[in-house]
Amino acid sequence: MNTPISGLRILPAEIETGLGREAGAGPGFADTLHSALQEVDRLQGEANRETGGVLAGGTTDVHGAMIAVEKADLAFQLMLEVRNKIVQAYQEVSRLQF
Amino acid sequence: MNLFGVLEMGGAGMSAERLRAEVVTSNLANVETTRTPEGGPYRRRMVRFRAEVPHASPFQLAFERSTGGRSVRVDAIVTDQAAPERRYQPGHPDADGQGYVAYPAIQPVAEMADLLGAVRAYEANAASVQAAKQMIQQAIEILR
Amino acid sequence: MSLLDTPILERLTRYLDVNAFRQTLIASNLANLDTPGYRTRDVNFQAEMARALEPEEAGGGVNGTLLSATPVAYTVPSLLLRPDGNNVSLDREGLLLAETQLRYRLGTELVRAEFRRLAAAIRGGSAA
Repeated sequence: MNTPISGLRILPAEIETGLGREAGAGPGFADTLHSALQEVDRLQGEANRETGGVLAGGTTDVHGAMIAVEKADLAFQLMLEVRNKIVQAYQEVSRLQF
Repeated sequence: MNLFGVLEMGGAGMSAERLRAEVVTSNLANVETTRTPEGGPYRRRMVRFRAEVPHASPFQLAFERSTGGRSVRVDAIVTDQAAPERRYQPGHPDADGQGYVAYPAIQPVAEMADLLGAVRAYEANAASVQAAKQMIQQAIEILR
Repeated sequence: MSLLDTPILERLTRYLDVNAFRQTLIASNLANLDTPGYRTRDVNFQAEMARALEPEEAGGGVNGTLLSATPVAYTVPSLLLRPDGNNVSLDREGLLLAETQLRYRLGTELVRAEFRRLAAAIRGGSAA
């Protein structure tokens, strides 16, 4: 089964490779955040569509809309956590003394 | 159709069964009625139910005709054309020349059975409305 | 396929879909308890659940499951036909009503549990 931990692949590995390489060589902070934002966007769109379907009295079912909204909410929280971690990492890097 | 459609369908079933109960009650109340505004004795009435595709957009209509559930509505209230029951009561003000009075051809026992059936069907539809309501509430609970 | 589209969530969504659809058919059967000529309709629960999983196994992906997902109703055979051509059984529908209601409850509770699990994974225990 796909565990959430394995799904979190975009986090440490990619940030590390981004750090290890030359600037612009691999996926950097911006790319990681960007992909998280895209995910939020996609799920938010899905949630909007589903809720719209329920509000319009169509064939969409309540649970479908609720699940879509909850997914969008979780994606947003995930994006926030990613952002917080990135900002934290950046601040740690910027404090480094050479 | 979604669970809100189920609510509407249950509601349609309830109002159809209530109308049936009203009609049957009117039959029971008029078992002995020999005089009506239309003239002659009261005539037994019956409801005619019809299954129908719930109202929807044209696209949904084509789709739901094949797959979805059916709502119900009372198509018509029809009058029983059976001949009145003639009883010999010479003193009765509505008696004809030979002393016979035309009474409605209604069997109270059959009407009572029909009434019980309507009540049972009404309760079944109320239960389905209750179930749909609970299911919608549970779906909303996903967000909490 | 993202973190939030877990297979169990997809399966549970399907489970809820089929149960909600079955509920519309039960309500329809109960509404037409006394409609002459009306025949009992139902959905094949196991087949619908299995059908939803097919495209995934065949490598059809998420898009494949969405298109084939619409459950199909069928007319239930071999029920006692009344003289008016109606074969709705109040007992059968009442039983199915309770069953579907409980199944739906089970589905929503499992979805909630899955979301709680995902939320915990995202927060990583940093905050409640």
